Amino acid sequence: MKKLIYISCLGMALLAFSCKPNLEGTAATAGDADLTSFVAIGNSLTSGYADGALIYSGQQNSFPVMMAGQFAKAGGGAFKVPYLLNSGNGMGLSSAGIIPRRVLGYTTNCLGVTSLGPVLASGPATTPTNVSAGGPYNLIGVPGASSFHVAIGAYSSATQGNPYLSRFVETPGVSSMLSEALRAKPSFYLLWLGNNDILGFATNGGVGAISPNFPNPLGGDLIDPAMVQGALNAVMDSMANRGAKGVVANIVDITSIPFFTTIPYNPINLRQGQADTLNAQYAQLGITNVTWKAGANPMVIEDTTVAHPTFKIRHATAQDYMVLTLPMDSVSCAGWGVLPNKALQDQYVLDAEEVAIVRSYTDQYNIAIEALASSYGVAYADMNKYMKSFKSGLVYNGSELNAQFVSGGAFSLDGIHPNPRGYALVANEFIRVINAQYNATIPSVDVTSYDGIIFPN
Amino acid sequence: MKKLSLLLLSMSMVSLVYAGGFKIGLQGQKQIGMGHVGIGLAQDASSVYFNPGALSFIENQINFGVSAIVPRVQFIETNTNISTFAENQTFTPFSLYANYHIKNSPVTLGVGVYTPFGSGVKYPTDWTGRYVLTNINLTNVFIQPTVAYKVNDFLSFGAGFVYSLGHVTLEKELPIENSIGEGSAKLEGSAAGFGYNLGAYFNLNKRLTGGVVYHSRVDMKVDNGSATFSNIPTALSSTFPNTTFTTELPLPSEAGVGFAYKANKDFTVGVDVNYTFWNSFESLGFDYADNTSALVDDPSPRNYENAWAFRAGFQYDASRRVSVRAGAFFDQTPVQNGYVNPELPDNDKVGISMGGTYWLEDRISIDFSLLYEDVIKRRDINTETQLSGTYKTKVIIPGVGVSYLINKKVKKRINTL
Repeated sequence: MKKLIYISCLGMALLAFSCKPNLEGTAATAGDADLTSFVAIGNSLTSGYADGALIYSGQQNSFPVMMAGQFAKAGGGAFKVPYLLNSGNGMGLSSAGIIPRRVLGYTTNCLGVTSLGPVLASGPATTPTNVSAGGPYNLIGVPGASSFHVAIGAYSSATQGNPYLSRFVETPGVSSMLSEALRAKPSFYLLWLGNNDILGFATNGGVGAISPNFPNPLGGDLIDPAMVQGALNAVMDSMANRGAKGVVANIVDITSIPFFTTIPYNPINLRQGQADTLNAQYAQLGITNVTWKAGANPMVIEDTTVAHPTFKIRHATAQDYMVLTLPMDSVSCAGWGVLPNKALQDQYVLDAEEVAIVRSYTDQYNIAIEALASSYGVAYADMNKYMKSFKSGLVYNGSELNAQFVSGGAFSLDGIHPNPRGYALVANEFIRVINAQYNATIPSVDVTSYDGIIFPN
Repeated sequence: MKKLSLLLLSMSMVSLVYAGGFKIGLQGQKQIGMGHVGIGLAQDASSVYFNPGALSFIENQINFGVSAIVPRVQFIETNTNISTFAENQTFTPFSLYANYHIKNSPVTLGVGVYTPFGSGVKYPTDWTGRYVLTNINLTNVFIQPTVAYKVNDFLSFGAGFVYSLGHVTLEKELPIENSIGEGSAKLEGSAAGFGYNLGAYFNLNKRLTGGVVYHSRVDMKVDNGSATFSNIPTALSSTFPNTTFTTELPLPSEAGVGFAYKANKDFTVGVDVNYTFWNSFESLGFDYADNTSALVDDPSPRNYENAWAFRAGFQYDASRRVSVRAGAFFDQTPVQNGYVNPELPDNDKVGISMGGTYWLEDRISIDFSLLYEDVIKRRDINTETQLSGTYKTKVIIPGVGVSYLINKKVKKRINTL
């Protein structure tokens, strides 16, 4: 009996010392994928562009950098990024040249109401310096790039080309995004191009040309699906010739992003007296299709199909999307969207007909991209479907994320690009489809370790 | 764009919640030593908790015990493979019991102060589940005056009135950030409640004893809890006002039956079976005095299921001064799949224990106990928070106690006929 007692005493003492749990996670493996040289080709989304600009911290929080960090746990190699190390507040694309990024700040509107919203960061934008000596780079994310730019050498011209691209290519004006990607000797690639082929048209309210032969996407042209298919095919064919596998992503429905869903079509709140005054004014001009009532009213927008000889305007409907760049001060104080001669111009409204065109083009692009993924045997990331889950809202480890502008916590302050937390979700979706296609077990990133929206203290 | 006013954050606070299978089986040092068996076994005055009916057969005495719970909790998130260990903490639940037979009367009086429920886990404030929980601390004391009535030498009944006091602290991080860091929330409140404890004890023959017991449900009401928020950006301060809340936390009822068999004069074995009516814990909600888009009163579902526990142990009286004990138990979890969360990463658990008593002299003895609990590894995705991972908990619980016999007369270590 005593012996038994001694043995059990010893046993308990051993248990006491081995009391720390020692769970082990699943080992990270690349499966059938060769991750030794990973190259990501894309536009602003791929570059880490956020808050209306490209900046060093944004590049560090780009989803390809996150993915490469996870790939490194499964045999992935070095991932070189053409970082913007210069000081400044970022390098933002605008018609007015390079502008700084946006931050949350207080502004007072024309009515004297102060509110929190995106404002340009104070201080200068980042002046880019040339880093081509450090190439070839693995991250070929070029803000502003449309699909058909991918193989065009002139697009990297230091004077006529894209300033984001020319600063890191081997020979500006000659090297293309594709040739730079190939220079990095990829064994695995990510391709996500075609968003700008639609976005330029959509963000400009559909004023551009549809399927022109010589398109200017940033000017608002809508690119023909055949052209997108051809450009992506060229990239995937070059990769296949090298024996590289990868993942290709489709195009996101623009109505999933806050740039188009934030400003309501009916923000005009009137009292009965104000409505009566407006109705009298409209009646005097012989406008019969616009009536005002007490309460919320839709704005009036330009529509060339309206029969009235002078005032080709109508009320907006829930099917018309207002762009985020609509100057709301002009709506509040200058009669935009209210007065007969101040109907919202085409560039501020993606009307129902234009939305239908954009959706039809998105569908055509996506059918082509899915077919390419299938024929080249690479993973297909249905980002269109995934970003729709942002719109309906998702819960990640106890925090709710959705596509609401600012408050939703997933999109950055430009309303188009995700913030670092949103990009982390994108990285994880890519990793999920790669794992499924290549029987890999690459771990996800911890989304909560990336910043969401930063508020002023 | 400039004019866009900031939409209010619609973050849910509902996942701030109190502990899970949060019962503490540490109500008497001798019983811990033999797998926490005590319903059908009249060991000492801790029968106030285990079975008030047994008090009629206990020598007048005072028992005090304290344990040190040293849990180690690990979490591995399924998708990221990131491992998190909860911070090392030590909790010290205690128990104090006394009984006294009224002379020339079948009545025995007893009193107990003990801690049957509690919980505490603290996670690093930067861990991936921090929006669910960073810290929970639930303490609770039952004070139980008790009366036992001896019908005859074979049968006795007992009843106790329970007054319960508690304190709860819950902390978590909020997914709102400024240049300093994230905001955080802290809920803190004191609670009180009432209940009862009934037992019957049988001396079936010279060797076999038995008992049945029923512990009532105790609803712990928090009336004036404080909700405080730290490092909230000015723009959101109206969404997160420091406020008060009320809530109610049900401590579940429990029924039990147990037997003990005295194989010879030195050797006694015992078994208990408990059934806990955890299904009273359906959800937990906080009713905030000020409601905002972030402070909503929606309850968070728990949907606990009733659970069994099986216990067995023995005592061997090795010498005049020394008794030794050992035991084991299996404790079923009340937490269903889809509801495991970091506040109490629960699963079925197995415990093995040993203990002993050393008699310093005829009246005073010292009790020792050592319990090891192994909560079986559990992988789950919480349906509410989507936190997905594998939990593992190991707990080591050393304890010590002292017993003092009021009347100097020790015939039997364990009281039977």
